[in-house]
Amino acid sequence: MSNYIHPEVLVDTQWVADHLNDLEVRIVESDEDVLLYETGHIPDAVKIDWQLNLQDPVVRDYIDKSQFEKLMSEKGISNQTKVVFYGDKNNWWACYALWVFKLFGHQHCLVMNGGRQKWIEEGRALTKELPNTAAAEYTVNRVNEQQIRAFRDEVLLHTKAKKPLIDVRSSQEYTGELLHMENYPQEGALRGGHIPGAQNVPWATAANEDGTFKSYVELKEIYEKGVGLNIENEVIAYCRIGERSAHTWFVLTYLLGYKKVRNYDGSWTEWGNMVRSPIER
Amino acid sequence: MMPTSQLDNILEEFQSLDEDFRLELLLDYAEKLPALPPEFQDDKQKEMALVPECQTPVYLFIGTENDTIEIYAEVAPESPTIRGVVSILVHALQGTPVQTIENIPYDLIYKLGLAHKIGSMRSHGINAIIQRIKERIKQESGSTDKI
Repeated sequence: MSNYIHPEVLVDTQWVADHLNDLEVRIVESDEDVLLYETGHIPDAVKIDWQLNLQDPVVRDYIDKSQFEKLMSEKGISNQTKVVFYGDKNNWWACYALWVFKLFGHQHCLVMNGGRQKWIEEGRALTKELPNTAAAEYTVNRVNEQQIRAFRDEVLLHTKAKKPLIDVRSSQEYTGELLHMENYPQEGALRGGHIPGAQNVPWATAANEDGTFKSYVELKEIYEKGVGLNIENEVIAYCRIGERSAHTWFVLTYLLGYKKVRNYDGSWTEWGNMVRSPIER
Repeated sequence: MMPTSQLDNILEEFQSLDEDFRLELLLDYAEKLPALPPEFQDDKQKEMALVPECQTPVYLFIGTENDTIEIYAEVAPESPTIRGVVSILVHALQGTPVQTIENIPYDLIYKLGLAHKIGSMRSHGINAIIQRIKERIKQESGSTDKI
């Protein structure tokens, strides 16, 4: 991990095993499957669901500052807690949850490299026992939206200025052949294609078979040699609803050290449905 | 009066529970999906994987014997929600007349009272998967071939 620009955001499974009783650490499992945590999880890990806990149930937005504070308190997370995220599918949802934590300015966010899959493959313990979390004090000091979240008007300006956009969906979604990810028709759009100028790098390209992140050299090859990004660029990443692109946001921001990366969570479900939004196929 | 069907029993089982316990019941169903009989194992790779992007293969083997449905399925334990739903379909349909398939509601997740507990985006997605399974069963049970 040492080659990454910010290797300190990654911990390995052994580190997590060594810190299970560390009061300064809270392990958070975040999965696509809403029941996976219940089938067994890392001892003392708490569950945070991307949809049920982090999204507003009515408005298309994330929960607000006070709801986030309440959630943190309930999960035993204080402003100083080191939160270690892990989950299924190459830490896809773990990175998404981490991004939302960063929206609310949580300082110490780490990812367990390899996620659930690696922990299990190494034969490490899982439990169904729910953690006993004492309520913590939490205050959101600063919402970090401007730095890491992009809205549609900003994306339009970005594309007009010919700044780089990365579309992390599958190549069939990018070309417009598919209007939605297979079996996710509810996340479809009326038009297929991509935002003008966007380049296609499917999110999972950044992960190894065992769920860990590819090496620094491999990631440089993919994003710099492959699609011509460089560390000075302002980059916006998007997918359908902003979850796959949170993974790419994490990779560019922490592993490659880009300082100006934003995630467009409106993504294709917003862009592909907007009247007169420019589209390329 | 019509006899209570397996599906009705399952719906009632879910609806009679407090919302908070319905996910646990879904997990019970995930755990009690009968294992795929060994004779189907070899053909598994030929079967369709219903959720390719999410690497959640759902293997389905469907046939009819004297106009009743025979259904076997395999879903990875890493996808307990999908596994639970497929298990509900297997329990609702196994050994029932072919027409039973028509009674599987298009919004099963809502009828089971699970939508709030799963989240609206997941519920829509899972309902879509149910539709695909249903279409598949209809297609395959139309043939008189034995499985």
